[in-house]
Order: sequence, then structure tokens, then C-alpha cells
Amino acid sequence: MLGKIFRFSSGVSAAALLLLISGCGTSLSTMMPVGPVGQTERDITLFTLVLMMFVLIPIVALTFGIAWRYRKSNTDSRYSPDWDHSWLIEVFVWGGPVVILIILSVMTWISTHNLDPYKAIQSDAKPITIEAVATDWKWLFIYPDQHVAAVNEFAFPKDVPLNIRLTSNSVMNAFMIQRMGTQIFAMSGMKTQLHLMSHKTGDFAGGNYQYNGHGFAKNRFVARAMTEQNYKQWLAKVRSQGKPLDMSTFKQFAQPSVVKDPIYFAPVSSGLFADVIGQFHPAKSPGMKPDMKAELKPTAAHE
Amino acid sequence: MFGKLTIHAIPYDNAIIFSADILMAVVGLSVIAGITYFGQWKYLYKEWLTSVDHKKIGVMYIIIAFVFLLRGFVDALMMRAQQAFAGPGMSGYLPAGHFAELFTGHGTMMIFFVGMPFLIGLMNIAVPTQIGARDVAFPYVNSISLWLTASAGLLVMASLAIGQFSEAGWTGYAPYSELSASPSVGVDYWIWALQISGIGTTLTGINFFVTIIKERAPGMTFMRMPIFTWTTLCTNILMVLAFPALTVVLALLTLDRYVGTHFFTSGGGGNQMMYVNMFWVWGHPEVYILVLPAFGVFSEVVATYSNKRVFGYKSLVGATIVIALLSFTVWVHHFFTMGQDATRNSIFAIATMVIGVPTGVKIYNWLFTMFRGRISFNLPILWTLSFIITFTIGGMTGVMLAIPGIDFKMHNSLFLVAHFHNVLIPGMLFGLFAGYHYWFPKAFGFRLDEKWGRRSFWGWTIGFYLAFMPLYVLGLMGMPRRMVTYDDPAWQPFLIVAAIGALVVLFGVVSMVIQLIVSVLNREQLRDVTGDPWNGRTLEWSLSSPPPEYNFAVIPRVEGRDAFTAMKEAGQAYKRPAQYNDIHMPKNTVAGFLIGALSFFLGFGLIWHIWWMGIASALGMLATVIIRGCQDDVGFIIPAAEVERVENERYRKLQEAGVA
Repeated sequence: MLGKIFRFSSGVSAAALLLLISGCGTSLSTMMPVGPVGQTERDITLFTLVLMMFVLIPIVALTFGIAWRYRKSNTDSRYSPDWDHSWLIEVFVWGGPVVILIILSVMTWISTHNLDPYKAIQSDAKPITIEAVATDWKWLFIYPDQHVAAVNEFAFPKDVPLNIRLTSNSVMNAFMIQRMGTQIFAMSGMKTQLHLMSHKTGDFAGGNYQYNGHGFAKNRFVARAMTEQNYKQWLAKVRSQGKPLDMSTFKQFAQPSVVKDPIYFAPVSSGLFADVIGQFHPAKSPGMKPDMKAELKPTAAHE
Repeated sequence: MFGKLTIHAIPYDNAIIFSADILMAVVGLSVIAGITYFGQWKYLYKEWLTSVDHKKIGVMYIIIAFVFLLRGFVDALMMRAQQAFAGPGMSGYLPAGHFAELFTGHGTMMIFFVGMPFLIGLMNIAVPTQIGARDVAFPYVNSISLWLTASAGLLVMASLAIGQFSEAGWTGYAPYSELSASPSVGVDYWIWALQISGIGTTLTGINFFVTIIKERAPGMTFMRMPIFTWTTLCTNILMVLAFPALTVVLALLTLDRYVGTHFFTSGGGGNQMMYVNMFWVWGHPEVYILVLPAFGVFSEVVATYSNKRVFGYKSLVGATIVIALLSFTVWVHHFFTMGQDATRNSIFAIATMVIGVPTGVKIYNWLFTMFRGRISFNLPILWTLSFIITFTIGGMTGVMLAIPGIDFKMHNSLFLVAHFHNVLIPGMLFGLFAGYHYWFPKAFGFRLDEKWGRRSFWGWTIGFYLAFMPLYVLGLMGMPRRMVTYDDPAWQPFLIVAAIGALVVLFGVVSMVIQLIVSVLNREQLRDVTGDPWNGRTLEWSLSSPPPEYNFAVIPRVEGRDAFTAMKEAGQAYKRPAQYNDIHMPKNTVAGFLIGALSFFLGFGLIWHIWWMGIASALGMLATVIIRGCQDDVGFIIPAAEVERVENERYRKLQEAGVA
């Protein structure tokens, strides 16, 4: 039912936004989703925009109308200097926003739970786990089950749910692929999680959205959604071209730098992601509780 | 001896910064030379630096705000110019580090050294006279607050010439602001500037809270207070409650940087998420600290220039209180993307949207105040009209960002940047400009020039739309904030339009400076002889412009809302009192200025690790406070005869003007 409302409103707003989109070509990326997460996000954006017009249009009309009609030079207009209260208007000005608020709240509650980045995407396909490590100023994507990794190239098959786990080797970063939706922070010593999927093949822009120093502007990557076959070929290419990656080579690689072309690693020592997190939790750290150590161990695809 | 400070701290190798330094030095030296040449040091010392008069303190606050408005605006122009020329294959004219200092400095200055001093300045000028008081509750503390703010501002200015400013953004998110990622003194400048001005603000909050609670004229019950006084009261409660959170988060970051604790670094039990939480526990109420006083100004202005009672007084007061309370319940909406669960995100999202209700109510109340009024389109009402429409758009995108599903995509993008400028420029700055124009004659005795004021108004309004609407589109196109260069060719046209918008705003800023100069030159024609140039409704308009040192020769008795309108209607407005009494007033003191000056050296010493300077200044401040505290004779008496002389002079002028 709510989905229908979203779709209806997006239909209405699509016409209004056509002008804008045609002006910007294909680059209105957040409004041109390729997967279920991005689609829901676009739908609620358009739904909210339409709803907000019920606030904006009356206020703009009233502002111009009242200011013009009650200008000092217009002596035909009624002048009631002591009129300062009307129950009817009070009910209207408190009631109207409350109604809109209730509609928005229901929509927010449902959509926020549906869009929970920690929630797995329902699909028949077996999900792929990818571990994203933010380093200054590049992204390392580890494919733990395939024992390979790629830098600044985020490759995956279309129509397959992606189970992305994120951490940072240095400061706070924010991971996002505009056309797939949902941004999430990557923080050192911690793990965040994100589920995405693309229904289309293609190259999509991605990047870090949280300022992290002089290389920030170059801290971008490409997300490549491929066919299953191309993805297998890509994995083979990474395996054949990649250099081995373990914690000590990672530490060298993670020094602040900007890389232009993708770099491949294979094989990748298992548990590297957990080790990157573990760097920030020295085993003898007095503040560390025993259960935190357990948390840091590599875990199954679905927590 | 000099800690980390060496000659290399002066950026003589950077042409842009060094020329700015030279400009700053030239301006500073010519001001000093000018004061010396005209022999004004004694006047400056006696009448301004040592003054505890709330009206003069208010004026000085607003001077600080204007100086920083110019500097913050130059930063904005430089950023817009950079991004307009930084498309694919281009690098613009700024290195990444300088660009980062610009966006950090711009945000820090606009919030802490434009918004805060401007609104505190207006409060100082208007509130005591609106409530029928002779001064604020603690005049000496008021002077300390001012000079702490000034000295913090001076630290920011000093960072341009000695060392550098922070590159960590105005929010200073740890761990980027920690020593490992930001080893230079930039973040230390940021920390101490905010810490010192923040303490000044907390003191102001206490001062005005007590002033409004305790110093109201007889008969002025809470439900008779002017709306601006109401919003000031709520703002000051927010200041007192919110600023300590900033003080603590900065103190913890300081400990991390200075003594190697791990509050916000991973390892040793620290947590960077705690920084974000604590920062926004202060930061979100701060948004309302900035806009509520402006809402108060709009309420005063809209009633005065519509020649009508404000519509829905109780609703406006209720909405103000509700907004103030709710402002503490929404901070998590600044980090929906940090990975907390959906239920938590939903609750904070809905709490955020709830604020839209009282805000919407206020907008309708202003509209219905104009309804059936007689509107004179003076500048303050123009700013108000522009505010209502522009702010509604900003509120609309705010509701959008409050929904996690939308924020997940728009967070950290230019959509967000467009949104908060769309709220703060009309919601704060336009309100402050309206207040500046509205109360200027009260503070100086003459009105501001309308013609240049209108030019400024159109520059700001048109420039705003040109500069910020493209940023919404860029946000939808996925452009992150804070990018020194970019590779997407589709972004550049929008950034060029935004840069042109900034130039149109520049026209507005320049017009505002010209307006002030023209008004001073034409002050005789613009003279406000009655003290009531706008047919005002509240008590401050019952005084002469500028008011005498003691404000009210006889404290008025308040019979209702819009007290002065009621007096005018009853023919009591300019009635001479039966007799005058001696008035007890606080003496000027240099203590506030000294404490401020020493706090600059305290901050400077701590920034550069010049420990002797820090310790000496701190002891000096302590000594000043104690010595001042031991003085018993801090007031003086204005004899009744003197009051009578001043008031007779005023009545003579009023008679000449045909009012009394």
C-alpha cells in the first residue's frame, strides 16, 4: 500500500523532475537508482517532495498575496490593528503540519526499517561478502571468500546481494555509491555493515564522503556491476595479475597516497579485515572486554 | 622560550595568505595610527573598552560580527572561485590544504564570530530596554563575555598570520582532528578560539537569563514580554544547557592532543563516535540558539511595520518553548549513517520532523500578523518577507534530510550544504540584518539609508538563490562537500552559477558597507529625534535615541502587551514624571578588557606550547578576577538633578519635533 503511494507520487513528480533531469543528463545520479535500495530511497525522496509542496505552495502564495493586499497604500483593504487571535486559524496552523507529520512519521518508520543498512536483501542469489577498508586516500576491497582484493575498483555481479563490511585504517570515512544508495561510515577499530544490490550492469561512481585530508577529492572509486560471467573473468584477472597481500604489505600500501588506476591483490591472507580492526585493540588494552575480542574474529557472512 | 613557535610559522612563502597578512597588518596599523592621530585613545578607553553599558557592549559585539562577516564571506568567495575553476583536468588556484582551511575557517567564523556576536549584540541593545531595565543583571560579566569573544576572534585572525588554522572542518570530527592526522597547530587554534568564546557565551547565557527573570519592570509578567525577549530567554537557556557540552568535548579533544589520552581515538578504549555524539549534543541546540533570536526579531518587525498586534502571541511563545525543548532531542540526525539501528534512527527522525510543526506555526503567525494590517515596506519587513519564502524552502529540505532513507544518500553532499545555508542565511542572517536596521536608530540616533539597504537586500536575496539552488542539484548529482577538485564535467556549470551567485551576494555585502558610510555622512537628515522612528510597540521606543546611560529615568509600570503602543493610545507616552530620583549605576571597569586580553595570551601560549605565557596569563586572569572581586565600590550615583537635566533636554527636543 505504502509502496503504491510512493510509486504514484514518483509518477507525478517524475514529470516535474523531467526538466531537471534532462538538463543534467545522466548525472543526476542519486535520482537514477540501479538497485532496490536506491529505488526505495528515490521513491521516498519524491514522495516527500510532493508532500512538502502542500506546505510550500500555500506559504509562498499567502506571503505574496497578503503582503500585496495589505500594503499601506491600499486603503481598500480591511485594517484591524487589534485583531490578534482566531481559533479557526490556530487549529488550521497547528493541525495542518500535524497531519503532514503523521503521514511522514509512518512513512519514515517503515522505510527506515526497510532500508536498515544492516538488513540483508532478500534474493534467491547467494550473497557475496566484500570487505571495504578505508585507507588514506583509497579504498581496499577484500573478497574474503575468493582470497583476492582490489583497490579503487569495486566489482560485483548484478542481481546478487552484496554483504559489505566496512572499517577504516585511519580516520573516519563514508562509503557511498550514489546510484546504488545508502552511505555509511567506516571507522577505525570498528565494523559497520551495508547491504546493496544492482539490477543493472555498468560503471557507477563511488567515493568517500567524509573529509579525510588532502587527498580527499581523489578518494573516489568505480563500482562495476557485471554479468556473472564477466565477474568470474574479473576474478581470474585479479588472481593472475595480483600481488600477495598480508598485514605487513597492507601497512606499506596503506600509507597516505592517491592511486590512479586500480591495483589487484591475490592471494589475500585470511582474516586481514579482522586484523586491520585488531590493530586498534592491542590485546592487553585495559579497556577491552573479552567479548570485544570475540567480536573481532572473522564472522560468517550474516551476523 | 617560544615553544613550537619559530619564524617558519609566518607563511611568507604563500602569496595569497601572506598578502592577506600584509593587508591585515596595514588595516590594523592604520586604525591604531588613526586613533593616535585624532587623540582618541582616552575616549576609546573611557567610553568603550572599559564600558559596562549594555548598549555599548551590544554595539561592540555587532562590530565584531561585521568584521568577521567580511572575512567569512571572503573565504566563501574564494571557495566558490576555486570550485568554479577546478573541473576535470583543472586544479583551480588553491592547494588542498588551503582549501580545507577555508571551509573550516568559513564555518567556524560564520557560526561563532558572526552569528553569535551579532545576536548577542542585538540582545544587549534591545532586551534590557524592552523589559524596562537599567542594565543587565551582571554588567561586569557582560563586559567579560564581550572581551572573551573578541580575544577568541583575535586568535582566529592570528592563525592567518602565525601558523595556520584547522583543516578539520568546523565540526572538527575526531580522529581527523587528533594529533595523528592533524599534527599542526591549526586544530589547537580552533580548539582554544571555540573554548574561549564558548565560555563567554555561557556567561552571556547566565547573564541574560537572570536579567530577564529578575530585572523586568513592574507589571511585565511573562505573558506580557515582547516576543524578542521571549526568544532571547529561550536562547539563553539553551546556551547555558548546551555550551557546557561543547566545553567538555573540546576539553577531551585537548587532552587527547596535549597529554595523549584516548577519548576519541580507537585503542585504549577511546571512541570516535562519542565525539560526534557530544559535538552534536551541543551542535543541534546551537542551530536554534542561532535562529530563535532572529525569529524574535521577525515577530517584532512584522508587528511594527504592519501597524498591528502580533497574531497568536501565545502560539508564538508556545512554539518558541517547544522548539527550545525539542532542540535537545534530535542530535542523532546528524549521523544517521553511523550504523545505529533502524528504530533509533526512526525515533530521532520523527523527533526532528516534530520541530517542523512549531516552526510552521510561527510562519503562519507572521503571515496572519500582516493580514488586515497596514504594511509599510521598510527594509526589515523586506528581509522578513524574503526570509519567510526562502526559509520555508530550507525547512522543506530539512524535513527531507530528517528522513534517514533520504539522508542516507544526501548526507555529506552539497544538498546538505545547500540546506543548512538555506536555513541559516534567511533564518539567522536575514533576521539579524532586519534587527540591525530596526534597532540601528535606537543605538546611534539616526536611521540607516534605505536606498543602499534595498540594494543590499536584493543582492543578498537574488545572490542567495543563485548561489545555493545549484548546490541542491549538485547534491542530487552526488557531489560531496569539501572537494577541492572534481572529475565530473556535469558539475562544473552548476558550480559556475553558484560562483556568480556569490558575486551577487558580494554586491549585497558591499552595498551594506556603503549603506553604513552613506548613513553616517547623511546622519543629520536621518536623525531620529523622537526616539520612535517606526511607531514602535515595545518599551525601547519610549526612550530617546540613543537612550541615556540609565535607560529609564523612572522605571515604567507595564499594563499589558505592546506596552508602548498602549501608552501612546492612552496619551501617557511622553508624560513627564512628577519627580526624578538618584540613579545607581555600575562603574566602568577595565577588568573585563584585561581578562579578555589575557585570555588571548593564554590561548596563544597554549597553542604554541609556550607554557610560561599560558601560566602567567592564567594567573593574571585569576588575579584580575580576585582584585575586582575585592572592590566594594563598583557603582556610582547619577544625581536626580543630572537626570532631570538630561530628561529636560530630551523633552525640549520632543517638543521641537511636535511629539510631546
